[in-house]
Amino acid sequence: MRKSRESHEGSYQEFDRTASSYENHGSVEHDAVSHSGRRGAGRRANGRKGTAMPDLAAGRHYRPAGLRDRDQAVNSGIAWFSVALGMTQILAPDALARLIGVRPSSNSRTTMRAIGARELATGFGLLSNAKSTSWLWTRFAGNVVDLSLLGTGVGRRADDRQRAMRAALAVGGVAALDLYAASRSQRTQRERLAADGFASPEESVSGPMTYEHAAPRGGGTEAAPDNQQIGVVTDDAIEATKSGLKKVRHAVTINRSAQDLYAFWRRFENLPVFMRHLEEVTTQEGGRSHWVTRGPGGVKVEWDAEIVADVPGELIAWQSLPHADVRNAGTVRFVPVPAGRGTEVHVELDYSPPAGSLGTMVAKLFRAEPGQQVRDDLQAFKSVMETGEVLYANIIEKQQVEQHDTRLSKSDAETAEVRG
Amino acid sequence: MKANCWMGKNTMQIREVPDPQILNRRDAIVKITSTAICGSDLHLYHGVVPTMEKGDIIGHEFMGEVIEVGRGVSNLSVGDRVVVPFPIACGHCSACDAGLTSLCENSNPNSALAEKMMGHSACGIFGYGHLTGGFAGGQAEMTRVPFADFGPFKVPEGVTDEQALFLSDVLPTGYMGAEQCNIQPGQTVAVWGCGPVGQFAIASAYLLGASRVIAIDNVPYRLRMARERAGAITLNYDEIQDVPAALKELTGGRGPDACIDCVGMEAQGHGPMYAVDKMKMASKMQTDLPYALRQAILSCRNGGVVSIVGVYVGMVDNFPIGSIMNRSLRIVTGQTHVHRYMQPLMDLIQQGRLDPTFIITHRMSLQDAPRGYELFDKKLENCEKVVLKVS
Repeated sequence: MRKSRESHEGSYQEFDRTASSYENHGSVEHDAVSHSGRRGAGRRANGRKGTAMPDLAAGRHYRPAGLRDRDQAVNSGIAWFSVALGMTQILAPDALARLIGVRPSSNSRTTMRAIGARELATGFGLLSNAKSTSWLWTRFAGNVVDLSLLGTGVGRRADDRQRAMRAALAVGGVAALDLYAASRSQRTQRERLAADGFASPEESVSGPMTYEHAAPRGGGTEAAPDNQQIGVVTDDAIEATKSGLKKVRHAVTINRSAQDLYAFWRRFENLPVFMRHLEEVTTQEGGRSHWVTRGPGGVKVEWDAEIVADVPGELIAWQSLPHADVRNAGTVRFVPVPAGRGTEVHVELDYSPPAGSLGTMVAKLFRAEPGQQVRDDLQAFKSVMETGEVLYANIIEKQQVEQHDTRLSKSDAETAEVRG
Repeated sequence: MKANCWMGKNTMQIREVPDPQILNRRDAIVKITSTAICGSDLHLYHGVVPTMEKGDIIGHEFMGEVIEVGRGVSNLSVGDRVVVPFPIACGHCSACDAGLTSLCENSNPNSALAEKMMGHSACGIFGYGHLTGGFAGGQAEMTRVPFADFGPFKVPEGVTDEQALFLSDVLPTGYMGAEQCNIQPGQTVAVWGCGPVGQFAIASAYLLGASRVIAIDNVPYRLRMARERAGAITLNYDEIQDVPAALKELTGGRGPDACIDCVGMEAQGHGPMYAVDKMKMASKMQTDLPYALRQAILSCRNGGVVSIVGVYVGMVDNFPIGSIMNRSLRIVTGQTHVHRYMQPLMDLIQQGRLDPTFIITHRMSLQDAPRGYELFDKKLENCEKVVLKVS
């Protein structure tokens, strides 16, 4: 399917907007120079929040988006409370039982210690700072369980009932705090995703993929929250939303000139040399190319792609044409490191696997960790450009690769030219 | 061909394995004439290095004759006699350009795994587990040498196997341990461990201008070798349990100017701290025993240098970072950048200023490698270094 000239131009414009936002994220206003130099010169930076590339100018703050500080303080308080309560429950179950109006028995002791262990685990989980949202929800669910347990375990005396009521109120209060922290943490995460240019879970990405999807989504300027963090995602980050759009980034530094690296990459026929899941890429007139991958079970996945930006020695961007098996778009940028210390190669890949069995296959193709595939490919690119080939550890590994990529001998010959 | 294979904890076995093949254009196949058992091979033997697989061919100290070269190797010919550095290095990345060949960025096919464990990957190494690439080692009749146009060093006429063999690892490793201390004339250097690397570190420290080298170990015959062959003042930590105090006394209260750890991850020692470390290691709460390293740090003079060439693989607890920071210590360490030391050390050997053969106590055939491991490990028959003769 041929795209009209207008839509082709459109994607150039789209890209230029993206490129200038790469250079001008943050709120500093100055003239943007677009990568292509063809258009966009003199365009004002729009000050949008979020950037798609991890290289920052001097004087900027790099912060992987995360929780806000004040939320973290609340969460940290809850975490230590969990640890303290858990320890008390495990070490002094009887004393605590009496305090909340439950008659100590071997049964209550077991229950109390079990709850204590759970408290310790959630406390530790929160302190470890990983996925605190889910830990907070775990805590909230635990509170609900505790309340029902309390209801069944209370003694008959009036004094016991009074103590139990106070305990129930305390648990209820803690539950409210957990609920507040959990929902707040979830909202912060959503805001962060939106700021980074990803659709929120409710919002789905539809229509043909364009560079808009790779670029930060709008709205950052007006809706900028009080925190000043730049929504840079860490290197090698993988982001996915429920809409199915997957985004992978990775960077590597190669001891060759940007011009050499660009020249090798720009011949798309070379890509299977280091992208081992690719079987063949053929190029056609007008920046079009045809990509063939062979996945598990020998199933072929193919698509056509077009070049949407091409700046010799600096940058290549491509995207799949409509009706591709796997909608995808990629950018590679070649950034010379000062003082002749090689060239940074930044790759950004977006892809949207189809639903159903083909989708599962594609997921396998990109492996459980799509970021790992891109990392391995870039490492292989580095090896090919620096040493002329990818080193095999042993004969088994070589056979696996040869089985997968029948073009190896041809690639070998091509890489021989690379190193001269 | 026959090869010495790791078959599980404390088990080596000579097995019949397929002959190596040229897999990359810059490969060569070397027919081994002499190979040695390294102290770091004992870490593999004990099963404390992660990612070992049953059947892995061990060995990273070897030399021999080139019997086949790949299309991309123009500087070697069939029949050349070479000694091969243990780090596999490409010669083209920025680490290799800087002479830091053990940090080669292209020689570890398992660099992704290494990155997960260490943050960044180092080079590939022959016969040293899969974290360093899973390459077949040199305790075999033949081995494949990748990047053969960069690594192997041609042995000059008139130099024997035994003189050249240790250029593959232990000699440059001991030398680098001393060299990176930037020793000034008149200084005192302390060396932990009197295995082969320790012996060479002592000898190198003297070559580099140290006036006194104090060696610490608990094996009498190794301490004797350090005194008689390398010229060290020796301390037995079984006799002197407070090593830092003894070193203080020997250096007028100041401490050694440089402290070199030639022991590594399986250090031995005494006392409750050592017991705690052993328990943590046994329960997998830490991967390395930092006992000797802690002593080296605490002993070193203010503003001195602590050099680590003993092998460590993972994480340790109770690391005296406060001592390092507050006392301006410098930590220098690394897997040896063997390539850059081969020519200068060969020059010293040819000039007769360095004789690396003094550490050899056992000469055996490849077939006897499992017995060699046992002798070396249990320190039987005064074993300091086992050289395996092949073919």
